[in-house]
Amino acid sequence: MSIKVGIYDVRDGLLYNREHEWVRLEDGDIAVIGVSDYAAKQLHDIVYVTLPAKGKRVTRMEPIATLESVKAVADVYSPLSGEVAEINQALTERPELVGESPYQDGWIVKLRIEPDRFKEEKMALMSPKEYARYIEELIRKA
Amino acid sequence: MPRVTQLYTYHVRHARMMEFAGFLMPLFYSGIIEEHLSVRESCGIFDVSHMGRILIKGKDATKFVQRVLPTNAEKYPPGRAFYSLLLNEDGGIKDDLIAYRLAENEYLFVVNAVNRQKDFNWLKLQSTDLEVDLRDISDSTAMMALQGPKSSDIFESLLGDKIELKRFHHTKASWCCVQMILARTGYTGEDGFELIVLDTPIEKPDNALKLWNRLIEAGAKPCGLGARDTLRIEAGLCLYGNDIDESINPIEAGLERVVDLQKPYFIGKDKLLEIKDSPSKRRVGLLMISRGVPRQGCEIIYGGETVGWVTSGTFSPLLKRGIAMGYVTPEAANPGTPVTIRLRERVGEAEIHGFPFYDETKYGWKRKSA
Repeated sequence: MSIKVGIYDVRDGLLYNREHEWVRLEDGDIAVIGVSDYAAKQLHDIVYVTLPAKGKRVTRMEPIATLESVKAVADVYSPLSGEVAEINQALTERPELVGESPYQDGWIVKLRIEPDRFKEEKMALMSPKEYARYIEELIRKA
Repeated sequence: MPRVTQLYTYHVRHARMMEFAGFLMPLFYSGIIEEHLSVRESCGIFDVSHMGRILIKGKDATKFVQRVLPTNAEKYPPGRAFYSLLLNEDGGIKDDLIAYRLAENEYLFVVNAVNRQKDFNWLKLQSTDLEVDLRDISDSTAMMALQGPKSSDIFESLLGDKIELKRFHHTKASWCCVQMILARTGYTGEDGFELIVLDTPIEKPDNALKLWNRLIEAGAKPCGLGARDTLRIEAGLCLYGNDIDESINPIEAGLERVVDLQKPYFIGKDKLLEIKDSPSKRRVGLLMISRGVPRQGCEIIYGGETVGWVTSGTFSPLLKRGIAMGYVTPEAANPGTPVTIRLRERVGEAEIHGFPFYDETKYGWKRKSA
């Protein structure tokens, strides 16, 4: 299930960061992170993805990866604090997955998070409905 | 408020829009890479109505053109077109353009959108003592570029007739009462045409829309300014404001071929004679060896020293690597020279490369296979 905002897809069951990353909780302390369809479409034609090293520790809102498109470069900000448990190695060969499948095959990293810290950091994230309103507002202002 | 072209109603329904040179233009329709490859492999169509079109007419038209262009216009009889430059007194590049010789004493200059007003005012100033009439016809005409190896087939299918037009030649054509100047020119490195649709002001855009839609039906893929930029970089063609401007002269820019120093006079000639053998920098191509896309302003390093900077850079959809053009000191300008480019957070390995970046036996208008 998802919400449509114009041509942009906002997937249900995820939490969203204001820098357009999404989070999905997996197996208790693992958080899967990617970028929204809106972010992928804004950037469009992604040609390189630079991924962090496994084991790297990041704090919330620190750049965790970079997406380079034909026209521009954008940082991916970590929506949560934690340790990089896994990276989507497929993106090295097929960076276009971020645009083609932002919520599935185009995921970027998995973080091992601390449950206590997550409870606190979660407050800053948006529900799909809130995020849909947020990008609606961005489109209106553009 | 940004201006729009005759094809705006199409673009706004199908494209991601951007502002360029004061115009609201399509950045891409389906995607830059997809559009780029369609031009290299088949055929794409671009709206270039935003460009400036200046008509030069009168008894002294040739005398005037010989004054303002460094190229020898006498070599191009009516029916021919040529790439040239407008220079200032210091030999700096005021603009680059394509000049179409329409008749013995009639020329059309197609100039950059960003320089429309500047060029017109300056040309006017150079013409005061001559019998020549200058008219900016940009707003009463539309312009589109049909580019790629299948352009000729597609356009012939519309006309129902064979097109006998050599590269850098032009002729008058008409299709369903739409009058146009048809030229075998372009800005992608590929074979193709540029069509100047006459008597089509913004209030009466139907002719332009009709032709545009028909060419798309016939198989041309609509392309935006994003692909226009990646295509021209692959072909090694300059963009005014990025790669050339008034602080750069044609020798530095590697555009000597359009300058005829044997001509008795043209604006900027004296200065070019002085500096022609000792340019302090040279425009070069840069091919990335490592990952990464060089961007405008990135430093170029050779032998531990900064020898220049990038003026245009992109990802080449054809080579699947970063490519760029920029200026370096003459000792670092030879093709094959290994350099490093300072990217956003690291440095990347690159080498100096000639233009175009692609294999000319496989791509571009000189390609061997049809």
